[in-house]
Amino acid sequence: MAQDGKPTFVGSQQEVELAERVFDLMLMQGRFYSADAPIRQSLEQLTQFFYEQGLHADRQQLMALLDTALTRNSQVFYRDEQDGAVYFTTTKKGSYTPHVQARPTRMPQITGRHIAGAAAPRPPAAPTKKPEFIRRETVISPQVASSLSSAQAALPPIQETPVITIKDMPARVAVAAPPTPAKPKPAPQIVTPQGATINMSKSPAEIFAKHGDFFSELVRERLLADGRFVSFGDQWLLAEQLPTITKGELRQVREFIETSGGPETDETLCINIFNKSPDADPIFRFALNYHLAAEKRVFEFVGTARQNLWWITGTASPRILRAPLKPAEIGQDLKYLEDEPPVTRLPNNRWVHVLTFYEWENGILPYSNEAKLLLPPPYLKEQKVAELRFEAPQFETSAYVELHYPAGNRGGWIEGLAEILAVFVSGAKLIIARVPDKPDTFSITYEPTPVEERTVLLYDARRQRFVFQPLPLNYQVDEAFLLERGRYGGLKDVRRLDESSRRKGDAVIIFAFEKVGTKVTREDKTVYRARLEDLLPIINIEKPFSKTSLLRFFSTHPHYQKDETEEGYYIYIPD
Amino acid sequence: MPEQATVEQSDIEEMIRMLKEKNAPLPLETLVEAYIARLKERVTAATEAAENS
Repeated sequence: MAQDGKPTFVGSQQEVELAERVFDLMLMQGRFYSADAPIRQSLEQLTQFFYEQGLHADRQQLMALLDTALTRNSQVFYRDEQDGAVYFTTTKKGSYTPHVQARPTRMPQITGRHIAGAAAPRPPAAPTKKPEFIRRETVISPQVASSLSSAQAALPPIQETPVITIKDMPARVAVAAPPTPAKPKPAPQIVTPQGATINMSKSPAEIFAKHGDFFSELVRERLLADGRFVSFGDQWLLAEQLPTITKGELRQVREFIETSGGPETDETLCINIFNKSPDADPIFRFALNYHLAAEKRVFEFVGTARQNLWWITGTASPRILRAPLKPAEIGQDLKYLEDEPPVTRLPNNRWVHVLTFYEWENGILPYSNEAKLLLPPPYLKEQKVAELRFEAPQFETSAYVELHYPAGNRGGWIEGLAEILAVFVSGAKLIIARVPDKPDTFSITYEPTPVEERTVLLYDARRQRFVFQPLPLNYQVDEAFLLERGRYGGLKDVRRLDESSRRKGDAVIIFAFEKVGTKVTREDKTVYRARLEDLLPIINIEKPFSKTSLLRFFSTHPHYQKDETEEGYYIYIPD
Repeated sequence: MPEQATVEQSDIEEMIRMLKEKNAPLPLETLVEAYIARLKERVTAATEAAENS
């Protein structure tokens, strides 16, 4: 038993980590149990729980990994099988030995009722009745799942591993009596300035894996304060090792980037300007990045942790197909994204996004909380933009895009997608994922469906009016966001709001109420009444709003009220 | 009483030695892991000393 109260686990790093997680889970479920009361879980339920937490993409592989990890730690987890199902049992003290009984009986399942502290049921009288199926949610209680999910979210999903075959599985260990505990030695510990205690008995790699953020910040601050060190991103070098790059050479770099017409990698700059191999001379590569980063007025870093890309400060990259709206306007429009509910994981590492009219028209996607889980975070402090590549394999097209990071009072977005998004309409369900083996490259795909003609809203710029046009759609759509004539016929031949009104949330929402709502009389006043679901797509023509942000807006503007007579309806009371 | 986590001058000297020996930039993670290894040695020695006293 380790000093922190946890048993010591054995196996590969992955197996130790898995066993620790399962033990933590079972501890939480049995937290009101006595120290030696059995806490039991089926392998099936454990697999389902960790699968839903996104620990592994393949459920079968995850089950095999769990079985191997827990079986290898038989000193902690007692394994048994019943009716073909595998169960693991442990106790809060970290070991379990089954009582010898005259005949096998079933161990009670862990249920929400048990967790609440109620007495365990008596074993059924013979003949043993088959237990009723228990809903998974009650086996791993929502409270436990909720409290664990935040901790799970912080942990990276386990990488794909080869399929474990039976011959790879270690032999099942016969149930042995728990090892006699030796008198525990006090574990080496340190305390953080915040008062947290860190157990230092594990390997440096394991300590780093668990407390890397704390130690990294501690060391980083110390190095930053010491003039003998210099850094670029997370790379560090001695200042005395740093080669000089002259003003003339920096001018050459600038001219090279300007001539190339788009951001360039440090690798290209090293080879083409300095005739140096970046791999053979990593100090020079570091020095180039360090000096370019120091010249903030001239060079702008637009790369990621995977590649160092440089562009000219204050210049729009011509590779990017620009949105009709200015960056400042888009950033303002999307500021609500920073107040959206957090997202802890992306199922299958895919970001599924329903396109809005605003996004379609501007050729952008929002840097939502889902997008943050998929796209690279800023590599340098105060980095504003990263250049990425998006591919649409179903159309055999691709585009350079700019990921604008949130800053100050602005939200973030991905700009330059007009060519790819042009083939879709508001309501299209897009699937965005990483392209394997291509750094900073992402794909936009769709789930194909049989072609169906739908009459949807478009804007005729020549006539300056909204029009409806039949289009053959062959991709999945979210019907709620499809601007179809049947729901939004009131927009036919309607002019857009003028430029200044389009920037105001209030004007856009009132416009939506007037076009999609119905006039009713409330307390002798004529008001507009509309369903939230019908308002959202039409509001999102001119100004992006999520359901959450729209409800927040309603709550701060008294002329919008919830219609208490019917769920989902809101009213607008004109002045 | 557990020790406080501090970066000693000797830890910094060790990082300088590592960078000179490598003669290339090092990621922060490498420097931090080396620091953790040294800190662990110190804390373990201090714990044992306290136990024996």
